[in-house]
Amino acid sequence: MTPMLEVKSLIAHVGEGESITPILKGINLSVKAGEVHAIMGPNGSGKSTLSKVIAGHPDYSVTQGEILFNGENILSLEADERARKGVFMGFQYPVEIPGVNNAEFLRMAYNQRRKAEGKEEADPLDFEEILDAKMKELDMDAKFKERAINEGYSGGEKKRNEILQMAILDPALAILDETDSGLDVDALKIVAGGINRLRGPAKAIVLITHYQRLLDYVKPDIVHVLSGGRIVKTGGKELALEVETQGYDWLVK
Amino acid sequence: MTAPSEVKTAKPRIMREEILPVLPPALEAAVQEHLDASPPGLVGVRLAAASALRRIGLPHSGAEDYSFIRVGDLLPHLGQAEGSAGAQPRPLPTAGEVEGWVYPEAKDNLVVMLDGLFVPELSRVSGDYFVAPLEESAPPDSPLPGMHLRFQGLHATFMSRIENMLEEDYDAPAALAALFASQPVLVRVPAKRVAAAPLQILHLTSGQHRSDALVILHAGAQSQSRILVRHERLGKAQDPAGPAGLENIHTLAILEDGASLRFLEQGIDSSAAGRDMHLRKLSVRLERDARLIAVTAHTGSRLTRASFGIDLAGEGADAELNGAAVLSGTRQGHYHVRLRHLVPHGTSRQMFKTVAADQARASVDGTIIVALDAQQTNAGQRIHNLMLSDDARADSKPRLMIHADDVKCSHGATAGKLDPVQQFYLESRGLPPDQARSLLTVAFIAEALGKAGNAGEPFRAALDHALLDGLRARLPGSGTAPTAGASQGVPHA
Repeated sequence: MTPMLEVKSLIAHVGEGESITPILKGINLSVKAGEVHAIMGPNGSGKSTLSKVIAGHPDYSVTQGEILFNGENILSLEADERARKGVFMGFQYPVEIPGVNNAEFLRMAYNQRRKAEGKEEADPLDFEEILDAKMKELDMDAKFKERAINEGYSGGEKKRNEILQMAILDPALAILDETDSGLDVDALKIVAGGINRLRGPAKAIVLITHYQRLLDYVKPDIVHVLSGGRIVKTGGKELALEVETQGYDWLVK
Repeated sequence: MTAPSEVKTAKPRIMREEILPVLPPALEAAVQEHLDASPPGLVGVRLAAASALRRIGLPHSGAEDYSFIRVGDLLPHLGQAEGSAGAQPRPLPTAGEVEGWVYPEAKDNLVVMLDGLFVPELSRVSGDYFVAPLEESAPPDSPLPGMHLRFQGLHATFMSRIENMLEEDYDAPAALAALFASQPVLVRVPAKRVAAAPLQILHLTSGQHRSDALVILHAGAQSQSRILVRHERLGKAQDPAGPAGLENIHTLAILEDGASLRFLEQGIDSSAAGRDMHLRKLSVRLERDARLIAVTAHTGSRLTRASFGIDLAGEGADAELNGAAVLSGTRQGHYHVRLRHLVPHGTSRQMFKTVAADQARASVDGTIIVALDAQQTNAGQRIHNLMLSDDARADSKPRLMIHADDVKCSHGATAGKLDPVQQFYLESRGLPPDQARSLLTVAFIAEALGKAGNAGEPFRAALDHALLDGLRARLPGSGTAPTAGASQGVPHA
């Protein structure tokens, strides 16, 4: 079976000219449909960069390697094209966008995805039903429909809003960048519930996390440790526990 | 030895600080002739405007209030007396044409002005508003002589306050409009009246060389009203090589104690009328605890200048000015503000947002003046420009002149491009880049429109539609943006 996501010898840089800095130094990663992978690693190891490069962030340049999504190299695609194909990135720091209504934005994004799949766009009333149901699952107040995207949300509310977007867009591949950071245990359980609901035989999830805590609620199939721009260790979920108790030093050295 | 020379005392030279402006002789003669021919009901207003005009003179290049405007473009239109007084009679638009420009909310209260002339055939007013040409607005004879005198006296007092405002004017085009408007209109909201529906003033221009209009608003004590102003150009399919017109409108308002007025103005045209020029002035005097919310939205023209002269003359008065402009091509949109806090405890807020694309030019030249006595004033001004092209230009000149010592005043100006971080966020959810940019641009401008009314208010929707749809049409990617329905496509923060 073709892996859903295949990252091959990926080398990526940030900046240009003399200030160019290599961040990813040869990443290999293969994620099959139905799997949940966790990528852990110390600060500055390149975890966030990896998620952004897969999502198509314009600040990073890939100088070598490829990223295959369902067998297709997506490196030449723009971020929005990747998103419409079913790649979703949950932001570590969701962006506040004053003046853009949250529900409105969600409907636009939803309809873009529907259109890309050759399905009919949802009218506002139909979409509202879908949205209401998903918001209920995530225990989100209806006021978030009226508010601007992430503007004035607490950290936990922002993360919940990321999961809401994921639930609405129903991506094939979700890469969640530190979605657990800044959450209290109750919020963490809700967010984990949202991630578990996405889980399924046709879906793949990559959890990027600094802590093992999220993995108590979303059980990963495979755990990778990323350090210095390379994956230095891959194992089962027990690896996450080892990292939690022993830290990263034994892996990095 | 030198012989004592005769000492000659030099005659002291008088240094004149400024050269008193003089109107061009042809204009001066026309002004005098116009005054002589004025009907009795208009003489007072016209004399006041003429006196201001003679004091101010016509704008010249280098005039501070016109630092961002090519005065040379204006002068051919301003330097002549023609105005609408000497204009040819023009055909009235059909009722059907007019209906398309009427906000549904204001269907029962409509004042149509054509090149500065009140058009009673197309206007209608019900209940809450009193509308009449100024020269006919004096109270009619009453069967009770005492009452008659009382109303006459009140009217005369009001008119003398209007004349004072006109006399103090510092804006030559506004003075010209007041002087040459052939049929000024008075709109009055009686004291304590809470108008259920807004009144719409529809200014139509036929592309005259210059069309002058004067509208006087009187919001009675503790009244509450909304005025929706819309500007439309007749004869859209005009010869592109034909002469361009100048619309010159002066609106004067007095808000009595506790009166509340929302003044919402839309000058959006999608037609070739971008060749025309538009000068608009709103002068407002706020008495004690009066409240003004003014929102103006436009898409510019060859030269659009919206000017505000706001006086907070009563304690506790509150004024809010919001401007939204979306400019593309070579269009220009300029705001000029002089807001004066004359007494203590006044509050004012201003927000001007401009989107400038292509080679558009924009400016906000805004001064807040806090008089010596105006302690406890709280005044703020924000100017934000979104530049969509490297060739567009936006100038901001925020100024504070504070003579009191216990006040809170702030001002700030920014100019920038769309935030790439926000753009990536939207794109990462599948929105094509053009749609993301369009959404962010609309969101930028929407903040200034937010004050037009409570969400769901029909005017707000109409304004959103007119401006934001226009904006979408001007932005790349509008094809992929959803067409705005009543409840969609318009981001409400």
